[in-house]
Amino acid sequence: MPLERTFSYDLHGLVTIRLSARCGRWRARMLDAKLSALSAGPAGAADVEMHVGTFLPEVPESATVIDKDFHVAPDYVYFRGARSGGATEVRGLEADRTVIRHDPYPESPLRRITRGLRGVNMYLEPAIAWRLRRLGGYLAHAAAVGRDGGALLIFGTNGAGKTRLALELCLGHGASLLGDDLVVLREAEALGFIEHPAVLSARAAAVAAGRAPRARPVRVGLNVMLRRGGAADAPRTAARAPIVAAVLLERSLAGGPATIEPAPPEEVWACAMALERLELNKHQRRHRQVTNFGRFLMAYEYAFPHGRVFADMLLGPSPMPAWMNVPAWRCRLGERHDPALAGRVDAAWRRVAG
Amino acid sequence: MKRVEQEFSLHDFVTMRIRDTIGLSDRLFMRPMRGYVHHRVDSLPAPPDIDVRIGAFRFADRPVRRIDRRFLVAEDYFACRDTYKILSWQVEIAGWDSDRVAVRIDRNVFGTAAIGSRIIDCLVRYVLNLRGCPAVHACGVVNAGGAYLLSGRSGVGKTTLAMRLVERGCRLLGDNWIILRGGVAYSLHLPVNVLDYNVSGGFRARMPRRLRLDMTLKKLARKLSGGYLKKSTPLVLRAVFPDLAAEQAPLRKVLTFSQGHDFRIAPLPRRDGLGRLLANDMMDREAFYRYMLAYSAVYPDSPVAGHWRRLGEHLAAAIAPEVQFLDVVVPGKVTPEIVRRVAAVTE
Repeated sequence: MPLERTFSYDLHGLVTIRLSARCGRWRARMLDAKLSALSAGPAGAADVEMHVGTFLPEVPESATVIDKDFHVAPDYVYFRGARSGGATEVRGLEADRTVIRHDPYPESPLRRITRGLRGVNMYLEPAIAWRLRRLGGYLAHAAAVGRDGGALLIFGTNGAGKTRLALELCLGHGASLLGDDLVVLREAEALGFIEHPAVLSARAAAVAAGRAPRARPVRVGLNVMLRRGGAADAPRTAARAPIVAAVLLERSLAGGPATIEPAPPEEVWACAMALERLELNKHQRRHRQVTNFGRFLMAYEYAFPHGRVFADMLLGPSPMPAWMNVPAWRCRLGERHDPALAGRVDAAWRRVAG
Repeated sequence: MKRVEQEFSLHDFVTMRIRDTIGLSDRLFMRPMRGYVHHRVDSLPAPPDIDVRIGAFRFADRPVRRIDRRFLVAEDYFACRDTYKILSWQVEIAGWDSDRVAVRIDRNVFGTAAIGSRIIDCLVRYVLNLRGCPAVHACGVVNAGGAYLLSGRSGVGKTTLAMRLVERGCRLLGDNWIILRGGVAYSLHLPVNVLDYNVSGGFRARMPRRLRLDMTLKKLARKLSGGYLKKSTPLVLRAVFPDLAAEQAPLRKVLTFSQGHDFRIAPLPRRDGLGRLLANDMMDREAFYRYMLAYSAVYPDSPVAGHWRRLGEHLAAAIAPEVQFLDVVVPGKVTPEIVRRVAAVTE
């Protein structure tokens, strides 16, 4: 019977996170790969808690059933998953403490290596994002690199090339990495959300060799479990930096070199927030078996309409905060990777930040 | 392979033309055109608002951007290749920001069943919303000159209750979607998806034998597969029961359904009722909504991006303040007692 392992983290003093899992040592190491580079948090209750493993749901008597699968009560949502997993219970969406209990999804034999990782990505991130919104911050799917003058935010969809551009700027142009998948934006500062050093060094090695840093979840999980890659390969990281510039990457099918043109920051921010809404609704795959956090919010809104969670995170638009009024560019990339892009972005960034 | 072209007009709010090639395999699955047969017209005076062409095609040569590695987005243009289990289709939508929408769809043999409900229906509702007539996911019954909507998620008992009310003497306004405009509910007569437990003895006896047999076979398939193969029989009201189909009626009450422990009917504040209707629309799992989100990620100021906000506004405008909202909680099965209570409310 495996032990229950707990990891506590502190996200820059804003949100305390606790992840616990009843599984082996290596799987637990893999599950907290995304958070493991954050500073250690206090023991005991945290703002956002997630427990991965089989659990017995405590559904209140007065719960309504929405869409056949969601049992909703005040401040409580329970998703009854498929036959062999996927059940998730979210307690405290609007209270001070959010507790998520998740039973990992049934996966294909190969993906069973990373069992639980999909749930952590799908539920913990939006819970942290919601908590940050209440504190006036945003958890953006963006890359951020920093230098003495300030931070450059790189927005874009999946596969646009954010990680690659960020790592190229770090390796070739002397910037330090604040985050390559997620970054916290709050009060004119970009706070870092660094991932496990094994994952980062694998990505940096791929970018240095000229390949795309995208790796399958199974490979990422294996890298973390076996702790491949030392600190020497990992790029230099920083904790926080003031925001001075933003770039929106778009990938097009046409060939040719990348084009950079200045764009109003409102446009870049609106696209970034629209991408966040797409991310929230993304994972819905098998019918009624795999669901996403957006549907939790919608089910809660159906049962108790006019909740703040729904309006803030699902219905647009989000107004741009005043500190995002920084020089911004829109970058159109072709199908093929353009090695000169990092240099041009770096030059533009230097002109702004000095 | 036969080329078929049909034109449809939804109460003159939105007009549509569908061009398709029918082969032998398509006769096994529901053709998209059969869904709108109630609203078919012989010819349209003006070019249609939605022009659907089903057949093999290549994506147009436009400067597209790739979103989420699979969607192709350009100015007023969207294209993607998508799959769901064994259904697969390829769709290209041009002009959904402007007045006329041109859609091209290509699908595999099994995909014929997908594109009707997943793409064409969602597109029709989107264009209806653009024109200021929001479409609500609800069953509608007409009783004594007034329309009553039974709205709620799928599986909650809307169709069963609507069918029972029709047996008691109401007329059916629609089984899936109802168009609202200026306080009046208009019908969107898609074929009613009946299962064996939706209809009771008297109604079933009046149904044609072919449909009864279809229902029984599908019930058998459902029982044998342990509930996995849940297929329903499409019942086209205009062909089978033309006197039971209503076209429009002023809206009286909106009942929002959810499942719970005990049966309960309680009044609902107007604000909450409108919020529920909006959440109901957003909860549909259709792929088309992901397409809209992907498009609005590149063009966040477009009409596509503002669809849900506009839907909320149009609903508030189309539902008059006198309309009463009711919150109905239904336990698992629809019993005669529940039917009686709901019928009392929809008098």
